Amino acid sequence: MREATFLILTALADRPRHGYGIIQEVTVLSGGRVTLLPGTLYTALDRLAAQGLVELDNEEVIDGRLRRYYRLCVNGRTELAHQSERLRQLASAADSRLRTPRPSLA
Amino acid sequence: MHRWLLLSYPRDYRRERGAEILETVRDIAPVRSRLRVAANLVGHGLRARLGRPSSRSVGVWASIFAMACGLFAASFGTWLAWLGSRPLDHNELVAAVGQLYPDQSPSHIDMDDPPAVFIIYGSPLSWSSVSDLLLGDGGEYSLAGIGASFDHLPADSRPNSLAQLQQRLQAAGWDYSEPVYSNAYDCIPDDPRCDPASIPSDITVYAQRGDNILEIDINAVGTTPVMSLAMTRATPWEAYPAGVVAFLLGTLGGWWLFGWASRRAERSHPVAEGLAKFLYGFAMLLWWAPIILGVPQVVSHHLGEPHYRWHPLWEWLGQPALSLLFLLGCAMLTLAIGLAALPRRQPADQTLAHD
Repeated sequence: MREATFLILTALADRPRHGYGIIQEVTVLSGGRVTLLPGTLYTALDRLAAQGLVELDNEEVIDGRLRRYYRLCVNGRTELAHQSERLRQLASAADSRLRTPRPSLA
Repeated sequence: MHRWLLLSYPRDYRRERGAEILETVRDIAPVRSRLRVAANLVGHGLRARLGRPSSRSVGVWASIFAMACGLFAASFGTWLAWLGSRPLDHNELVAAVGQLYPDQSPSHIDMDDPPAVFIIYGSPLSWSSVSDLLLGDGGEYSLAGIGASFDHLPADSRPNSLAQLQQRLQAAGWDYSEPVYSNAYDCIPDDPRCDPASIPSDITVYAQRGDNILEIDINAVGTTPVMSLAMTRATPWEAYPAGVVAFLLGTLGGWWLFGWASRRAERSHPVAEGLAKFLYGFAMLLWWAPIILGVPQVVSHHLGEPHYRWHPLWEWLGQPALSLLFLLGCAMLTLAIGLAALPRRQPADQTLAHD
């Protein structure tokens, strides 16, 4: 799973968000490293919806502006947990190797 | 500004989600480069045209099809540009031959202009030549030329004739190439009977002046005629922009057509969709096989001898020698598109956007 996709799922983990909200949250979660553009975001949402990981929550019009909110599906929550565990194992393995003393070179 | 950038998205998609996307664009406008946002929208809009959002490979298949459409369109565009090129004029041939060899009369010189820019077996392309074109003789479709020949060498030997020719070409303002030697046959170098010096060979010199190209052959000893000249037209400058524009239009058109068929087939009966995929795959094999086989050969040919004119683009694509394969591919794609155009089943599940 690409980092941007993982971050989108993470952004939706706590509550539904609209497009701009997802972009903002992804930027915060990545410490500014990942900046989604609208085209990228909606392509990712289309793919995640086709995979059954996200779905439309509701839509509203505020001050004449359409806001559509997306939420994580049950499958999306499961997949996010699975990816999170995978990354945790990889990070743990890397930390373990980094802590292992290196044999000095003769 | 960005509303027109959404044109890269399919119409139904724009209708369903255009407003939402534009609101998001407006939100990020203060902090994102407009150019980056525009490029991002166009790129992802083109992806959205393909449908199948969870597919990682549909972009590859679309690119293969679009690229082929672009190349064939570019061929057609350059062909049209060629048709508008200045016709060959036998008077220019007569003048050129007379300027190079004022002290000799050719044994033969064409006094008629060719009937068309491109000919097949000496005649313009017509319905009567379709069978030749499709059934193995497509390679005979080539640029028309006019020629002259001599039964006697202008000098006392072939090397002297060559040297004299080069001097006279330069004096007459022709830009000419290094001579190309073509052996009538090859022998095994280690064979004691092999004597390369005794193998008869032709000497060919290519020259260009303005939009005229001359190919002068000093033929092998014992060959008649001993010397021949052929005049053809250089590539018209219009062919280059015509090819580029046609390529772009063809590629975009191919991407659009593939996207339409892909979105339609996605919701068709599984059997129809599977058959459409098979037909598409086989058609791409028929289209790309001649290209993959032809390009290395043409590159090798171009590198092997000097050229004042690129071979026409369609020859790089293996056309029209393998035009039957191209037409069979077209027929398969037509069937695939027909299957995609069949009435679609209603989607059973909710999606964010649908066609």
